[in-house]
Amino acid sequence: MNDIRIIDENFYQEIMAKSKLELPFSDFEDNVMSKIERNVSNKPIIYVKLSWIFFVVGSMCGIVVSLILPRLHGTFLGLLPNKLTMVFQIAFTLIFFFQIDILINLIRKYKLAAIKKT
Amino acid sequence: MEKIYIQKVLNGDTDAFRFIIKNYKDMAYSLAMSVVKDEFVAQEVLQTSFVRAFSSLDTFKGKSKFSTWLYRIVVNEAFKVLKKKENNVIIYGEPSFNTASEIDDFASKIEEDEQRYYINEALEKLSPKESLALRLFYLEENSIEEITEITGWSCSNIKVILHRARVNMRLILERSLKIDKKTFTYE
Repeated sequence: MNDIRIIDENFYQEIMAKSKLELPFSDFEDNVMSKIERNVSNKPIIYVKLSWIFFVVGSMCGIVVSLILPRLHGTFLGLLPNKLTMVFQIAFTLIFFFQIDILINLIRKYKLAAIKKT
Repeated sequence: MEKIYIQKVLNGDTDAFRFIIKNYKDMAYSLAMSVVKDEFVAQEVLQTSFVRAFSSLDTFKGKSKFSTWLYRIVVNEAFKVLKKKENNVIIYGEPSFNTASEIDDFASKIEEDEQRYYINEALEKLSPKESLALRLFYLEENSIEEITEITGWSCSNIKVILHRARVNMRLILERSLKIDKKTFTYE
């Protein structure tokens, strides 16, 4: 029984060794590489655009929250609405300028990379 | 060797990925063909898989072999495409007998090219899972554990698929030989 199994295994090993196919498309490598290069060069543009979208959406949300906060009644975490608004606005302003700085650097980097490529 | 090229790609040398494509394209193509059974669809599968492998190369931690990681992407993509196309596959039943002597003569009777033709024809007729399991186990010499990692199937499932694949492969080869014996003589 074991002998039959060994013969069987050898048989399949032998025939399957001949089952490797060769890719019949000679331009395959070039096609994939050009696709990859296109993706690589398009990526920064997508990232910059996405960053701006999220920045604008985030800023608008921040403005809306800072307008709503003074109208609240009662306390939140032991803070009165006017103090809460002030804390929020300070945090919002800091984050806003911090993000603007990051975005400017991102654009600068992207432009430098584009110049290098050309 | 491939580790050097992977590192190069991760360091920004896009062109180093060409080595990886060159090295793995044929085996990846064989696996994709096992599943989709069409060379043009297999090419599409490969293109998508290599692009995906490139963009997620930083997620390869080197815990498994690079080939295992890459083939998992290829196999997943191939099954995804297959699901979309909803191909009907022929599933062969268990043969009632095994004429081992007839098959054992197989290697000696026909020429190398013809053997390749018959073997690949037989693999094409097998179900995607069966031909994939055979290629991974016998051609790529992956262990059952590695096949589990590549395909996501359980060990017992792989063993069942492999058993069925062996039986069906033998049956298809027997049939091909019988048909051709009427038309051609190899002696």
